[in-house]
Amino acid sequence: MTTSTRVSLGLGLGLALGLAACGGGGGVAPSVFDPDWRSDAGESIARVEAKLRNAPRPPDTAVVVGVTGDGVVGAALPSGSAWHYAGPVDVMPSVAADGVVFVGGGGKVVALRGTSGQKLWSVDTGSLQLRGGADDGKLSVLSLGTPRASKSRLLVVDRSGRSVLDLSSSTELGRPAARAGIGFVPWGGQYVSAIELATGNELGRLLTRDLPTHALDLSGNLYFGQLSLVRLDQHIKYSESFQATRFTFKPRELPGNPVWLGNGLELPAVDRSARAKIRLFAAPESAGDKLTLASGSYAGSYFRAVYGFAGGDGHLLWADALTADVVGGGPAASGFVFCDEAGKVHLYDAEGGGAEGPNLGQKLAACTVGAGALRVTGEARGSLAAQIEQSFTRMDPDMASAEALLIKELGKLEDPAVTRILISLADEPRVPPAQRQSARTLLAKRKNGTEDMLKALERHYDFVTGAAPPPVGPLADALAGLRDSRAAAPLARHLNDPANSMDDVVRAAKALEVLATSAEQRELTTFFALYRATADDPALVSAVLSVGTALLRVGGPEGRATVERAVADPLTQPEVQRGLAAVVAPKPAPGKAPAPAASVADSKSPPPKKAREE
Amino acid sequence: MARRALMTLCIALSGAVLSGPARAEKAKPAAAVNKAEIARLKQVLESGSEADKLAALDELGKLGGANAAPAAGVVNELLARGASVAVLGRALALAGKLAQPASTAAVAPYARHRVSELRLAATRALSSTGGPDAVSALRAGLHGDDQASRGFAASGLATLKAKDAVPDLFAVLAKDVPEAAGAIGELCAPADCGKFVDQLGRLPFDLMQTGLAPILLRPETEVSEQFKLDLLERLRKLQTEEAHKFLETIRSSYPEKGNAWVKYGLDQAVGNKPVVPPPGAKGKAK
Repeated sequence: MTTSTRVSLGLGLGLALGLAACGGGGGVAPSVFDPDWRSDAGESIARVEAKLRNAPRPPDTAVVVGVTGDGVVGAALPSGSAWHYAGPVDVMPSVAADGVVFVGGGGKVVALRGTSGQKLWSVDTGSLQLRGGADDGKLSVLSLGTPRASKSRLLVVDRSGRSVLDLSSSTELGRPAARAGIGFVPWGGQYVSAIELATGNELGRLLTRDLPTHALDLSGNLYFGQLSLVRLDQHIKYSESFQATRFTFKPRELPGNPVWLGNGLELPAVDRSARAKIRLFAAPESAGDKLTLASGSYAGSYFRAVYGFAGGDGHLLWADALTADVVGGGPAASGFVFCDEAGKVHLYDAEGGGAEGPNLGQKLAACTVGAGALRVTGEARGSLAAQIEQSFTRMDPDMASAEALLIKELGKLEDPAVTRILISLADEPRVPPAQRQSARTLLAKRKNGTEDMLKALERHYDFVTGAAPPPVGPLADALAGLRDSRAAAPLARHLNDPANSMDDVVRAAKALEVLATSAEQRELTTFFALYRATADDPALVSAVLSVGTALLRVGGPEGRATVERAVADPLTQPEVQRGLAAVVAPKPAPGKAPAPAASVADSKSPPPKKAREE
Repeated sequence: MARRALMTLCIALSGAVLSGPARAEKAKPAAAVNKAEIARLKQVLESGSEADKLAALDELGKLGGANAAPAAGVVNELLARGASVAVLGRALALAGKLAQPASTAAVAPYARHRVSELRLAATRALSSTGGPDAVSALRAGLHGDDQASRGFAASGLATLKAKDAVPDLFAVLAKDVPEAAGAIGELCAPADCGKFVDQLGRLPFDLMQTGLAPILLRPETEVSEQFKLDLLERLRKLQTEEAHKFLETIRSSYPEKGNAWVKYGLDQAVGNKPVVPPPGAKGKAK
């Protein structure tokens, strides 16, 4: 700090009074960050807004900055060359809208040009750490704080590194923004002070109930808030009565419950825990008088998984899995940016089309993205079903929550390819059991993809090749629902394959009640012979009764004789015997009694229990 | 696995040294077909209680000679209808005992029963009933998910001299089916025997020895004298205690009237001397 205009709270009072006396624009409070301020009904912040409405601003520059073991690496987006700065890093770097990067560590804050890494200046901050920085093209605003203490400091630095303003505060200050010589500093849980950077004079103050801890400069607009945002525009005067232009963002429940902006009053520590890999990114977009969700969507990360969701109903729009865990990212004006711990930057457009970002070339602990004005153009990555399938090839079992989400979304798609993918997920050993079960459940409800279902049914367990049995039960349910009799033969073969689970056998038998033809009589008769007297499990009893029903339907006199003999044989399992007796009994004359249940297996059998594997 | 492999070796040795592959009990001197008794027992098997059926099966088993085929027919009908586990288990054992190829079709489905006891009984029976369908069923058993059945299937294929099954046996050899080694040793053609011997050092010796024993004990019309001598030299060169013990076991059980050069090779190998006959010596030991 070469020279400075030190203004303590006490001095601020004098300066503000002096400026007011000189008629220099009128300070709004006796001192900056004065909590005893009385609301001015939005008058002062409205004046500031009017003053800035056509104020010049530097062009936006999109930048990514990653934290490495010995400093930071960065690059301009979407395709700049990587640069490196070696130095201590205590907190997450901050990126201003014009691409100036602030790196705090070792009792200093260093400003770098985000496109090249060129050092602009460095200032001492003592024991205070960087909470956030902003830049208006000439002056930089730094919000500084200390861990577990409310003591804060606002520092304004010009391009030569000279401190032009140094305000101390006993209350925590949030993440600032800057525009045309005015800094916007959230504080006190409800205020945003508009401070003239050259003088320290508070020109206006916004009172908002949206818990302002962040001031954001996105695509030329300023926003304040945390859980929701208000925009600095002609309606800002009415913020107290919730009539400012407001952006509310309610994401769906996501794996790991990531938060959006987080508390801007907290020091942004370099988080090396798993939490840092579970993130949520979204940004507002100005559309005339209204605010919408930029890209019409928001994005999230869960370790290697990244995905985008529609702003309206939250349905999945795109998905991908990176080759390394995500350690940071951010929303673009259109699209999203992620960086992984291997140092690669990944860009996605609003539809999830992919584009390669810069390779930062070093392992990253974390990264910050400032891309509020970047519009990503990516290449289409195939159907959503294909994207999900591809994602699963890169996921580990510890990403079960993301896998669960993707499987659930997969089930909602009409794409016939989904059936094939669910079949492969249902018996994929790398997929956690609960998610395999989800895939089976969804598979049972499929209404298309029958060719893939039939192909899967041709597969049987094979000790030599290592082939696992297909998800016979869900396939049987789906094909029975579709009344596809082509499934009868393969299902009948699966009946007599002991490698299939009991649940699969029960459901195959149930499907054969409606699908079997006389061509399956041999397999049905074999199953019936093998188990009508040996069924020691309620599920197997149910399967035998289903097969008995099928035999009566398709087996002709021979099939009926087989079932009737079983009814008469004292060795037939008692529950099987009772069930079969009911189904072979003569039907009551028309009009005398209600028709019996369509399937004896439905009416008599207990619910299937867990498959017993001998 | 080692214990299973040792048992398999013992079985292989006893089988080779005695009177060739184990076969189903040979029929006693022909007796006339007792049609009335078989008809009576058939009636019991159709409608009797479990105890009655078990007794009837025992009685059927006592009928020998010319009664075997019709008795097997009655058993086959029972198997086709199904029964309790106890009755089916005894019926499958009886089908094996009666060793009628016509029983294979009735027995084979039980090799895939969900009850392990019946699966194993059926797999054992198939090695007695025989025929192409039995071979197919046993080959399928090698691919099944029941370890015990795979072992019985491998042994059964050897019993049925199913040389076509050797590729399947190789496929399960390294997958914890030690019985496959013994079966390969009994069935292998020269090229396959060479392929098997090449696994020495790659597969555990206790697994290999169950296949090496039958190779050394098979007649020279199937496995040449030279192949055996080369094998003995390879075993000697292993210079391991387990190989030496194996050679001693084979020498002690080698038939007195067996091939002289193989006996010579065994002596040489056991004495840790090169198994190379002196030039021009071939044939003299005979």
